[in-house]
Amino acid sequence: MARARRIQDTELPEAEAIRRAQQGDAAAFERIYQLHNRRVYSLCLRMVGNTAEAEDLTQEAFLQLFRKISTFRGESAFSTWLHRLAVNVVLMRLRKKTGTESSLEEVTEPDEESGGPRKDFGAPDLKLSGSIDRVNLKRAVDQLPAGYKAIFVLHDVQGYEHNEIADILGCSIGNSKSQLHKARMRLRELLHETERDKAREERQAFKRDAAGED
Amino acid sequence: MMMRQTTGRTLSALMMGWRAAGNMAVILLFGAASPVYAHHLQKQFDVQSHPLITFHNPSGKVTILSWNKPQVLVVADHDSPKIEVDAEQMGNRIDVLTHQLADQINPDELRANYTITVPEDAELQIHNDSGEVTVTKILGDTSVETVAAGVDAQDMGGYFVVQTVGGSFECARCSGRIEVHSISGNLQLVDDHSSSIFAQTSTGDILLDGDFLPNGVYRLKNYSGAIDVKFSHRDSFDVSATSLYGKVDNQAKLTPPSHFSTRPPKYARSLFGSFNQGRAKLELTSFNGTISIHKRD
Amino acid sequence: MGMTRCEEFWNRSEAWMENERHPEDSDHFAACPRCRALIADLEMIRKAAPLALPETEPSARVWSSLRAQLEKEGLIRAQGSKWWQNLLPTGVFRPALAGAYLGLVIIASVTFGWRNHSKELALIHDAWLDRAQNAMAPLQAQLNSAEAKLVPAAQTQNSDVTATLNRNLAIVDNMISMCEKSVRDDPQNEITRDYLYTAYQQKADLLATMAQSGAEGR
Repeated sequence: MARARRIQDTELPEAEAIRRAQQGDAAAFERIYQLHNRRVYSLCLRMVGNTAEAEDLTQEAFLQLFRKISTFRGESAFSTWLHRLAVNVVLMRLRKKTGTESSLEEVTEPDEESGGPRKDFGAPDLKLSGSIDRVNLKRAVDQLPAGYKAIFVLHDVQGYEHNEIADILGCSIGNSKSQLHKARMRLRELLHETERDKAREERQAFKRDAAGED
Repeated sequence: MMMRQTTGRTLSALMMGWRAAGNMAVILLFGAASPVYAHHLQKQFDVQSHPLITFHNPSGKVTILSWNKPQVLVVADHDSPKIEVDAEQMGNRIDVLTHQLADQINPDELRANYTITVPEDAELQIHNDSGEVTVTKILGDTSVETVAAGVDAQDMGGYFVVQTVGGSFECARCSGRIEVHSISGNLQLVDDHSSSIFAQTSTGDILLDGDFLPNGVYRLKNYSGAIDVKFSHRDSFDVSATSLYGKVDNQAKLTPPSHFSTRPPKYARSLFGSFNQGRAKLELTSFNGTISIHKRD
Repeated sequence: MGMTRCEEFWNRSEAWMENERHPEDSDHFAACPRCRALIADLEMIRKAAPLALPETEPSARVWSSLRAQLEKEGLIRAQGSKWWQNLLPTGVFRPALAGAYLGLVIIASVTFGWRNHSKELALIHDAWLDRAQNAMAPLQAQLNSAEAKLVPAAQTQNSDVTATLNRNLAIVDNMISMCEKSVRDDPQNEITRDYLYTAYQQKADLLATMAQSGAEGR
């Protein structure tokens, strides 16, 4: 009987799990956690780049969710609501770290000098080599400003649409589109820099080898 | 977990003896400035970051302040023995609640006044049916529900949601996302620096007199009251204003819009266009009220 | 100094990536290797992202620690009564409110579902009216039934609250009747349907508040 009940709980559809969680059913809380923990954790991990901190933030986001679940009435999608909470938790942590009271607008409109893409038309024509190295892309994403990172991960990694991102981040759809584009442009620059560094290292290694042979 | 508590029926104690008589004279002299209540509660709790404070009170003046200590201080006063005020900690959550002890109770006896001081990053869920609610400088998410109580907020930084049936709402210098719903309350949003405002009242008036941030979205909607928006020559927004059976009065020199999102019926008074570069989005809707878009004095 | 064609293309590359293409850009794109390289790189980044950054699972520690915190805060209890049940109105009111909300779902589907059929609206205008009125009838009955039970019970001991609730109920009722008239006069008007929906939602919320106030006031 207990096993049957367990199977039912793990197969509970999301809407039913939410309804039961609103009545305080512990198994329903677990089901909601199972359904969404990977996405929330992955978002937190990409935002802060540290597994221990990402786990803390995931826990905090779900805690806030479960404290408020009785107020959820389905005006927006549940996952959008949860992601909004998660992004707010992350931004609050980043705000605390930097010690500034930055608004979401500042986070989604980073200073172009420090983190935004440059339009360097004088640069040599470069196309990234055949495929993108996974490690390099991860490193480049880590270097993005928080606002770009959030939108890039939500859209290009997790597949959210711009209207959903606008809802999650409390910005306009146009803002979401333009920040995503700036994020990709900045990533391209960072990946080019990595390729240039790699080529330079190879040249230096070649020179060293050549000098050694002489 | 540290907790200090002082509670007592201070007035009845004071009334005993000559010393009490002296104090009474002081109270009578200065009573209007600093009222003394029969029942007083003061509790302080140590909390971690982002504590949740839930508050439930039928009637009274509620003041929420913030400080930079990881502590929550609850001070409550009331006169009636028919209610009891209480504050309890469960993990990182503080529940503050007024209990009704008697079945028969008159409106004055329901009244309890609170001053609650919380860390800036606290999250608040406040329910106060009547009286007034003042909230200042909270950076965490805050929700306030009232029936008749007015809500006065300043310097709020988080996601701020207010639902009031008939209370008024005033929000000054707030920078977080603001959402307010009312049926008959007047809503005033002044000197705010928010990128997202949604304000809806049915018969109340709405005043928006703050910054229009680039990419900000400002949606004001009512049924029959006035919607009054102030702007300066430096602001930049796309505006869409429709009053179905009322009127729209505009002082902003607008350039025509590139597209319509929802085309209103022909008989409605409508206005669409961009002011400067149209960087923010302003949506104003009324059923039969007057919408005014006026230059700031 | 004017912008070069590449600069113009770069400025519009956001739209290009969203498949919104400026007529002048296609020729330039075909001729310019630099701009083709830009778009190829951006496409490659877009495609590589989900593969390079796969979703991963947090350690089991997160759920066990979260669960402990939820239990500590009294948010979950595997057995026994739920703490919030004390805050809810008594059971007699809940079916009525559930009905009211169900009604709102019906009206919402009628109000908003029709946006998807706007092209056919003119043809099936009469059918819509019938459907809308049929949908409204049970909603009105449910709301009226809830109101009949709740309004007398909602005489709380807080006279400010009772007066405010009654005054606002009258306001919402008046709005509903005005909006219903408007919807009948101009059923194609999305704005009036939106106002009617809002008014019904406000009435259901108000009745829920009355139920809660009445229950607490006793």
